[in-house]
Amino acid sequence: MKEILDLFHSHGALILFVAVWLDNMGVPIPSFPFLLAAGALATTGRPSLGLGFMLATIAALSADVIWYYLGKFSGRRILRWICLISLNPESCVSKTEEKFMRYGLRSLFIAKYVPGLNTIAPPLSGLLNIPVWKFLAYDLVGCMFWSVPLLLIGFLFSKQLGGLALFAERFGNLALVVVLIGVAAFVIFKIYERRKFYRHLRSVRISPDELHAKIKNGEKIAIIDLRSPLAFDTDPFSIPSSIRIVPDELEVRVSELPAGVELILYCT
Amino acid sequence: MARRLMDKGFTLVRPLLGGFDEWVSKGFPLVERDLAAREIKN
Repeated sequence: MKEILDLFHSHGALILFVAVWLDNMGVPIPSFPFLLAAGALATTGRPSLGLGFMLATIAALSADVIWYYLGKFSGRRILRWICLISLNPESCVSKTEEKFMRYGLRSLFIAKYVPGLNTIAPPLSGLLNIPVWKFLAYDLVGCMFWSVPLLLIGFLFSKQLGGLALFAERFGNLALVVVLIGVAAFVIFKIYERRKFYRHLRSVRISPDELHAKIKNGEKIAIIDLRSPLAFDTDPFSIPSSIRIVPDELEVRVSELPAGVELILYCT
Repeated sequence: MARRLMDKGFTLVRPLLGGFDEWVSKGFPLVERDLAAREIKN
């Protein structure tokens, strides 16, 4: 533990940059403790508040630009991939898309504070062909809203954070082991949840091959296209004979659905 | 969504595994939206 603290003391700027960049690239390493620590270390001038702010902003912005271009050139495939690696697949793309569609580019102002939105908003901006300068302007403000308060909190509460560091140093490896066990338990729990979720889905869902066979055989089924407005508007194709219903209107229009036939629902 | 429809009395509700993207990646037929999707109007 002492070595880690010493390392942060001597290479704080580099560690801050790497942690913020990895966090914004979607690696599940929260960077806010690093921002707090950098803010606290700024009282000793290593790195200064200004340098900490610059590094955090450049790291976050550069990661977001990579996501922006991945969204622009890979389309929805990149969103699907993000969902696959997400630890929260059940609340992944659709809910985040909903937030983005509701607030538009303004959602970038608060994206860094909202799990999921932080990773989804930049590729969505690219997917929607928002001009890069406009994306950068909004994202820059978002990066500032995120990094400045955390650095300032670290700076203002440096004594209290120093006390925490002292505590960690005193309890040495034990504190490190407790933290590592906590992180490992969290990740294992989320992976277990995800596997359980997918097992449940597999048991009730219909595979594309089975659906294709049903269409070919002319079976009586109703295919409902429940893609989000964003997904629907950015893709000119649909599954043959599908009925389009906006997800929010499903319950209102339930009486219009054919009764007594198998309903196949699909989103992205 | 499936659960909400089941609560409304639809017993045969099945979400498509992998969604639209999986359907596309498998190369199954698609039609242009205006020809395919009948938008249910109010």
